Amino acid sequence: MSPAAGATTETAAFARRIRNSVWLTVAALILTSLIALVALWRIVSIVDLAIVERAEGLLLAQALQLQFERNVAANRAYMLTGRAHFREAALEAATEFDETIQTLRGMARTHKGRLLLEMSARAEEAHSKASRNAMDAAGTLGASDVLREFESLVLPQTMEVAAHIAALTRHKRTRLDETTAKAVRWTQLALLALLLVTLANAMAGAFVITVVRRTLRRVNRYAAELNHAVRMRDEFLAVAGHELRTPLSVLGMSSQLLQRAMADPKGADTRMLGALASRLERNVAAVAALVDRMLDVANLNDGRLDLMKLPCNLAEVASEAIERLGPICDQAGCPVSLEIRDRPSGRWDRTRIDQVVSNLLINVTRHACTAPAVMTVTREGNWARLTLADQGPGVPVADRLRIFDRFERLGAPEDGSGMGLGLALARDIVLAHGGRMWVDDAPGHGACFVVELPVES
Amino acid sequence: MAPTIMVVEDNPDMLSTLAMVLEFEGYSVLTALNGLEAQQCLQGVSALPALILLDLQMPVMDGETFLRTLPGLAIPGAAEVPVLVLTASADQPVGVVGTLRKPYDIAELLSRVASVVER
Repeated sequence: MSPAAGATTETAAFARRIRNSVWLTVAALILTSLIALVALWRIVSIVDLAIVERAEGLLLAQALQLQFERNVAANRAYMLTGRAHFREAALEAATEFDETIQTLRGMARTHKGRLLLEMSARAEEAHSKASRNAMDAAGTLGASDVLREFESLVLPQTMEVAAHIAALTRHKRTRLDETTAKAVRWTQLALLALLLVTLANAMAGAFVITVVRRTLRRVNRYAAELNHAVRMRDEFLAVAGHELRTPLSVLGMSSQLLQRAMADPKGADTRMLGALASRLERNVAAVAALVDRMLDVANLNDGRLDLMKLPCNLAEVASEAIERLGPICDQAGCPVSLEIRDRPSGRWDRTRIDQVVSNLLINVTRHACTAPAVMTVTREGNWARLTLADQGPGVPVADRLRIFDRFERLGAPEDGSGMGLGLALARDIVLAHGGRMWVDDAPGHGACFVVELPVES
Repeated sequence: MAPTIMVVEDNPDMLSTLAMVLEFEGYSVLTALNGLEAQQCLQGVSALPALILLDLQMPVMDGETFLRTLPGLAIPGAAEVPVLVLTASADQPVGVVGTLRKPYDIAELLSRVASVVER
């Protein structure tokens, strides 16, 4: 598997893992919300039970009051009429009163409630006892004076029981009101908590999804950049191999030819041997230059471009480069003329600046070998400016940054447009000098490469 | 009479080295720096070469265009001249007798040339 394919597979696996994590997070958030909802439901149920219990207590207190009133009324009726079933009704009401007291005892939760209950129970016992004693003392039944005497004997106890029951009822009503108010408050709080949990979950979910999306975008971008870099490297290796094959073939065959000529001295003459020797020298130089350019790129990649900055004149560098490479430009069909409008100087590495100018000239022979080109040297403020305007096809606006990247070429990988290093190297050298470099439209048509270097202050 | 071989190659050093190797071996050699020059040369010769050694990547007219347009030039017998491709890549165009990949040595070159010329 190639590194690019490996990176793609790794990225896909990473993206899959992130997607799974997101689903797990979303599931966890939904589960949390559900748990909060169930908790709220439980709180409401518990509160509801408490209210029902309090209401039941109030109802029982009211029942207690009615039972006591029934008891009192039945006793009076019995005293007035002397009929036995009134007496039985009074006893039945008293029994029910006792049962209600027992039920209320089982429900009592507060000290005050228990106290009021016991006071009511004791008062009722006192009332019953007073009633029995009063009945015994009253004697003959059915006379109004008898009832008056009975009432005078029992009334204090009756009043006391009624007062205690009334206090118990009030207490129970207060407890119900308090519990209801508390229930409303707790339910509101629980609802608020649920709302907050849901909101927090939603925000957490949105945050997680945003972060993951951003991460995925970044990973995809890195993967694309990696793939691009690997593809560029592969193309570079293919082109470098291709560029090396021709001089290596010449070297190989020339040396073999030399051996054959030496083995058969009659077949070789001095002219032939001289031609072979100079060819060997040229192609060794070509291979060496190729290797130098590759090493330059490696050094620039590592930030190891050592500059020997000395006073240097841009016009002189341009003249020398054109003198050296002019014949190659002429042969390629793009003679280059030089216009020196100014002679700016600066502290630059002369060899490296020469490399910049040479790379621009070589670039013209590759991409604009159809018409003459013009190189100019001027000064613009604090900048020494060198331009090279050709009449070739120009550089599309979309490619004007890309062509300065390493291993980037305007042509197809193997159309002879070089290794995609010349302009990248030139740009890096210019940047290392604190200068700038770009490409623009040439007047008319074609491309105009511009180099600006800081002049000596 | 020694067979004539045409060499079409854009690199001047490679062209003159190939020519020198073949001449040293006794062949007559015709040279051209690109496909167009080769076609013009073929139109001017009295006898067609026994073999064409053709580079593929060349300016002006590349090897593949040369091969594609050769039959349309109305040079009697030109389309039948065997072509041995000299290339740095692994591709072999249609209609050629073989491919010689750079870098190659003299023995291999001469052996391939001889096998085609003496056929």
